[in-house]
Amino acid sequence: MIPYVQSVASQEVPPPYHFPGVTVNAFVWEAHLPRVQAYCDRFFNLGDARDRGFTYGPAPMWPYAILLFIDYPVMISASRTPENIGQEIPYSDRGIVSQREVFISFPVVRLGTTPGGLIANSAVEWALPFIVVGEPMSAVCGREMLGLEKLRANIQIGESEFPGSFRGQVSLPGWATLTSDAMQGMLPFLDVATGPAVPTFRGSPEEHSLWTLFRSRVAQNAIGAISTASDAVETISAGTFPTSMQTVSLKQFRDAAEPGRALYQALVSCRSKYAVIENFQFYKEEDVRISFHLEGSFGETLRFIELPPGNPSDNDKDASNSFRPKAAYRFNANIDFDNMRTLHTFPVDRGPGLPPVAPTSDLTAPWLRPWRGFFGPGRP
Amino acid sequence: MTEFIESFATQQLLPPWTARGALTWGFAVRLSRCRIRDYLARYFNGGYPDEAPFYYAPLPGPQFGLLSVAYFPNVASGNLQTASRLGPGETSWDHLTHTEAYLSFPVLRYALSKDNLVTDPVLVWVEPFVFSDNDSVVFSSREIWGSDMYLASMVRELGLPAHQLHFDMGMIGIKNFSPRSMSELLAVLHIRTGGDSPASLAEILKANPDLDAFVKILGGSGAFAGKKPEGVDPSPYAGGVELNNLKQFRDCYDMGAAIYRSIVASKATHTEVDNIVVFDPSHVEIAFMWSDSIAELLTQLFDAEQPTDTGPPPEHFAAAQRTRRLRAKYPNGVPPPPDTFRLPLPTVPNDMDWDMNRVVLKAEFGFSFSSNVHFEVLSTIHTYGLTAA
Repeated sequence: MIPYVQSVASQEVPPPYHFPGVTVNAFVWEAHLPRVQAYCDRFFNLGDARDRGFTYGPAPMWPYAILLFIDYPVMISASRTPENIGQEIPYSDRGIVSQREVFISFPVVRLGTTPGGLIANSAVEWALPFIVVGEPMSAVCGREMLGLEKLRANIQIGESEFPGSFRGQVSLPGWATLTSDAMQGMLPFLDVATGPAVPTFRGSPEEHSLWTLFRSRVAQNAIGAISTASDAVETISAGTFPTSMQTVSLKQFRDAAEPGRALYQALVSCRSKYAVIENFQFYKEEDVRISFHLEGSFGETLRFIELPPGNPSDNDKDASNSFRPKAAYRFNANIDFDNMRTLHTFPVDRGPGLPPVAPTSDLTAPWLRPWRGFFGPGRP
Repeated sequence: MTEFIESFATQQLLPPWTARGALTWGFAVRLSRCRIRDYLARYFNGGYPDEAPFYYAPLPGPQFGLLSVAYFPNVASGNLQTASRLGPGETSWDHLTHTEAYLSFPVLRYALSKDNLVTDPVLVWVEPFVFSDNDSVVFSSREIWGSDMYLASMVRELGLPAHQLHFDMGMIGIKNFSPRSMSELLAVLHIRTGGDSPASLAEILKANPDLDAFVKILGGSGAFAGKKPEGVDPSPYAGGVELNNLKQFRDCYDMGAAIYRSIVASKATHTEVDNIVVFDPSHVEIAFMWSDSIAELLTQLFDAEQPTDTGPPPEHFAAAQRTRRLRAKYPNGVPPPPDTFRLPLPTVPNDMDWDMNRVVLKAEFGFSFSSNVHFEVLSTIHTYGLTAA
């Protein structure tokens, strides 16, 4: 093992984390499956399929992209084992951080390329083609430890015009034009505004709205009951009924002298587990407006995400894309962020004089891991 | 070699880059030999598990570090890959502006043989910390050439007499470690110059002979305005322009393990140097604010076991009092802002929490200059983990 030397200037708090009392605002629209496949091919399906033993693709059973605004009032370091940090004060004894996060995610399916791999190595995971955070250290940890392509942004969250509504705005460093003299600035990227949560004095959603499925109190209580029982459900079913979001991302680093070359590439996974879900409320989709500014250098941001066609009468004049989602809702929950692991290390040719990085794999699907731990070979 | 997979999130400032019209302020501060030795042992000289074929050692004689602030109004990558986004034939794109504050000090890098013989000393600089106010620069510096760089809020007062500096820096941190302490924007560093030196460089060196070797090194390093100042002898050491960084990345499962670790050599060259000014060191204020988040840095690098002075610098005293009143009113923490949508305002120095004691550092020597800066990565001089320990 090569030891990591923690810098004296570092304020990093590595995962796992526990986030109590999180507020989530979620917006769902249809994903464009060929683009999801293109994303998988570019970032996950590196090299030859037979060599790596798996192929990622879109999840046709849930063909949606989801945009989440998450407000974490408290972030607690929650390592369940002693931290390997020498004489330093344990992270959980130092204090707590608050932060905001915005990301777009879609589910992807990993399929093993052999009959055995198809059974043992297949899994549903979530790709995050866009993720920004307000806290710089969160961006550093996310990028360097987990391979999440986190950027730091100004994230504003509050109410829109009506009481009980939501507004979220994201500004990012970018270049307004793709010209040789353009100077980087903090530019608006995303603006989301809703009406109040339903039922509302502004009228009910239309009958095809997702909200109609949940408008009874029995259904709303069922959401809470499922979330409360999620631990038991996941344990009893050995992961076959997942109640959490397992992400997958490409962790890679550039060579210093030749930055177009990679010196490390691996698929890394971690888990966001939602519990104690409360105050689940829908927004009326007709009251929701999502506007992206995709000018200049932002044009590449959503290359793998097809945005729905906009409503011309409702377009934000300044935005390049403005549309309404298929569903929009909010809830409060506790979130645990844990279970980080390297799924697969790709073989990387580091250049003359250096041995290539050898491939490694730890692809066993979540449902099989408890059984493998029980019957399989012991840890080295 | 394997291709790096580009995405929107990796639109970084790729090396080499050039900064036009940069302003640099440098202040020599005394450091402790044993702290430098400990730093080098921790970062460069250990077995990880294999040892690099180098041995880093402090210079003989008095030890100095250079605490610097650099304002880069226009930085652009000269990497053709970056410029190619605009089309063939383009040579630069991604112009940005940022400010840096950093500590660097010179050390000797010896070649280390398999028999543990050290030979061929070369003077190189190491940079234990660097702060920037630009995310793109932070991600590039950390992920490409391995700088220990962190994002900070920086405010440089405008409208001062030419070349003079008032610089305040803050970062998100925790004042007193406790499981219930909340992070906040803490003041970290305050620097103010108080006028040019009435004495010539020769007179300054005569009054403070300990500085002689350090100023010679600065003269030969390119850090001091790209050329040797008048009246300063050549540096007694070979080298002097190279910066060595430890580039490392954590394992996602074991936070104490690295999946990659190497030493990267780079250099910055100054050209079109102008407006060289030497400050009166007795009127330079340098104060680091003492918080639990910064305490280890102050102890490990500046040998400060505790604050040297009570409270913040006088000009930030009122801001500290305001923070104290707010805490008295809200003993369980300042409530969050009302749930209305508000756009953020630009940072002003007194938005930071200054209600802390401070560590005052004595500036032995101070200068500023303007220049164009060209930064390039020389090579990765050692990659750990490739040979058996």
